[in-house]
Amino acid sequence: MSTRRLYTSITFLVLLSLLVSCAPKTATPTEEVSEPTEAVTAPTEEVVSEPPAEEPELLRVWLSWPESPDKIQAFFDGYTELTGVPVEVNSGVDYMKMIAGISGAEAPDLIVQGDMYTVSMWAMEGMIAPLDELITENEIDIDDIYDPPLSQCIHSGSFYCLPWGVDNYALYWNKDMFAEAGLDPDTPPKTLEEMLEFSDILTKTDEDGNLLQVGFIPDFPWFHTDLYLAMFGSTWQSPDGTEVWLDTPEMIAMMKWQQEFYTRYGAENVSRFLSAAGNYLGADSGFYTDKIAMLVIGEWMSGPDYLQKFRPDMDYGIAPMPYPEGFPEREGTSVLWGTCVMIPSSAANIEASAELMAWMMLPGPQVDMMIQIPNLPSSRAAAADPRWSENEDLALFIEMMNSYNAQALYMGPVTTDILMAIMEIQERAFLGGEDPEQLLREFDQTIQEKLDGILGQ
Amino acid sequence: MLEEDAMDKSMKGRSRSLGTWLTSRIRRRMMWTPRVRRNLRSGIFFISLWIIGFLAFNLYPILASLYYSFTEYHILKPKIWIGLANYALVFEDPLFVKALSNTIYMIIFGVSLSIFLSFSCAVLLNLKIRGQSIYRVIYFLPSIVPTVAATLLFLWVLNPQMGFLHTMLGKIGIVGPDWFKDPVWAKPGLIILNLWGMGQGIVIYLSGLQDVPVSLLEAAELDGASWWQRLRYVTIPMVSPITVFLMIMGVIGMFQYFAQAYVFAAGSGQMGGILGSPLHSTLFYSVYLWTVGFMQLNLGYASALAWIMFIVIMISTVLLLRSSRRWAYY
Repeated sequence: MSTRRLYTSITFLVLLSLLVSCAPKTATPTEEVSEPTEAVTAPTEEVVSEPPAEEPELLRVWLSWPESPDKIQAFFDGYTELTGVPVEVNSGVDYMKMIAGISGAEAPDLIVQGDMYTVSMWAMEGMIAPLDELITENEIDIDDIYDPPLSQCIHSGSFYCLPWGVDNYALYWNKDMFAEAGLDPDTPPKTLEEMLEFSDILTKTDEDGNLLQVGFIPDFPWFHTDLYLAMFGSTWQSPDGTEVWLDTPEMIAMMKWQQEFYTRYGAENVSRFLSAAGNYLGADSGFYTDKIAMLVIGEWMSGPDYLQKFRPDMDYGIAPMPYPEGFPEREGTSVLWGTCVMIPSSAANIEASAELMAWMMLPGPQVDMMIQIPNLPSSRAAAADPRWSENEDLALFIEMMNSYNAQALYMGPVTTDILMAIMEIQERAFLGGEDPEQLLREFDQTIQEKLDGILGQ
Repeated sequence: MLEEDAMDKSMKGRSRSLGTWLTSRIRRRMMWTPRVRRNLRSGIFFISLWIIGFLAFNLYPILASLYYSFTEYHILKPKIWIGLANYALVFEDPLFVKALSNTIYMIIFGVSLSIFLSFSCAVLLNLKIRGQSIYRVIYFLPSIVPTVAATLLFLWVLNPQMGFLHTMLGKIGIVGPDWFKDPVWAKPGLIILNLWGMGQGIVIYLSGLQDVPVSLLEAAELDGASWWQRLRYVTIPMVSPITVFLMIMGVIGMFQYFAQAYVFAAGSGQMGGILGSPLHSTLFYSVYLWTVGFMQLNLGYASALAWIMFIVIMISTVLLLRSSRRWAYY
């Protein structure tokens, strides 16, 4: 009998401990063991009779990119110093973990994504909270935020994210490689046609025709269809989001311009060359190893995590993306992307998350953070800070961001479908040699049908 | 009329036999001694943690996914019952067909080649030669390298610019293919990677070869059988149950083939590589299932794909087991 009791008790304890360990944490800020505070240690009758002071609940911020985790944590420590609210930063969080975290019992309080592709989809799925009321309550100055990245946060007329930082893209060129090829190292190509000419001059092959170095490959280290399309005077979806514009003449011309770099040097040759050219994340990148003379990439490239780290001695220049000949009014065109902040709809304390978000959007803290990474600020007031002009590279990106030619892409429920389609079309056209026009028409029709279905619901 | 009577009798007979069986089970249960019952309770208690884990983390998700496969399921929204619509969708989905055909390709070429080479290596490693143990260790070592590390390593080995294989082929005048970007060569590249880690198959075959009766081999030798004839008519039939086992495990493994394809797509050079590239040639069933479930967040359809995978694996296993009766010797 006693054995049975023992077994029953142990089983009960095991089940109880399992239940306790599996149960979601609720908002019980007082349960955490806190450091003895002055008020608690002071032996005065008044203080002792009062309930213990509430320890502010920890806020957890998840970031999608892994770079500069210490700097980012130090930035959020500034919020803790100001408010007493501890903030824990988790950098380099995988997409899968984001989804699991949002849909699980212990969602993070804030999510910071390096791009805005997923905002619309997550908003549609109810995974992130609408911010309209929180923006008003926390007096976030929406008018101070640059319109292009801000517009990408809107889904069905409501804000679902706020752009914390902004990414902008330009042409980087290796001045030594230009000089070696007989080009003026201080003069980058002004037009897309010149870009092709420069690329030919900068490209070298061995006696078997294998590429030894290349002037420019349009989709290295990744595709920039959005920017190139803007240079050709179009975009991939109508501004009201009801039409897919994949088969426009501009899109077709842009794809053929990119394809030209593959057909000219041989698709297989380029593919082989790229297989040893890495990307921008490691020291083996073709740009760092003087194998690729020009590339289109963002403002962060000149910062401490990339060029300064892998090729601090490189003599490089940065210029706005060249425009098509005959369209000088498109000079300085850029497509802005936001580093966005979202609040999961399952966050434990949405008000506290919104307060932290409001602090992140203030011009002062934004400049402090963004100039270190570096990333561009989303606040106009922050962009006017004199510290930006001290760095020639970043000053150029700020100037481009302020240009009337700064644009944004429409982000909607089929954005990821469009991106996936473009990647497939490029692969099939550039490497497989298929006609991009035909492919663009096929995908336009398929995605338009899907969009019509979504909008008709 | 006579037929009806016969059926009726048969049914009665069946129900009677079932009733008898149940009664006997209950009687036997009643006859359990207190000691047997106590032992049973202790046994259940000691495996209770496993039972809880199994119910919570295996059985519940399995049954839940079956339910989800009949619904339109988005993570934080109420599920909507849509019947068999998710299952019907596979007939209109070209990527489903592509993923299935890629997986079948890997089964036909990858699994069969792996079994053939595992057996061949095991036969060689079974020869009584000096340093036999060292050779066995050398062949087994790659199979304990983590999958991700092995795949990343092979991205370098197969690199068409500076890879080891490319260089070796170049020395004999062959220009190696572009393994990462050529849709024709991407799957063979992954098969080579799998063959490198076939040590476990070799070990299993080696254990089987130890069990081949020496008397049979000696008898065949006395009858004048050559080395090839002994291998063909004695050794291969004697290890055929192992071949069945490896085939079944290979089919199951190929339907779950994910990590290598994922790392292959992510690590093959440029940024923004898409899963299944180049041109969907490495879009395997599990990769597609994952894409549908977690990239497109279409969890209902992903659950249906998972159940279809289960059914296909089950049918394949049954067919393999049945066909093995003709050629395997137990």
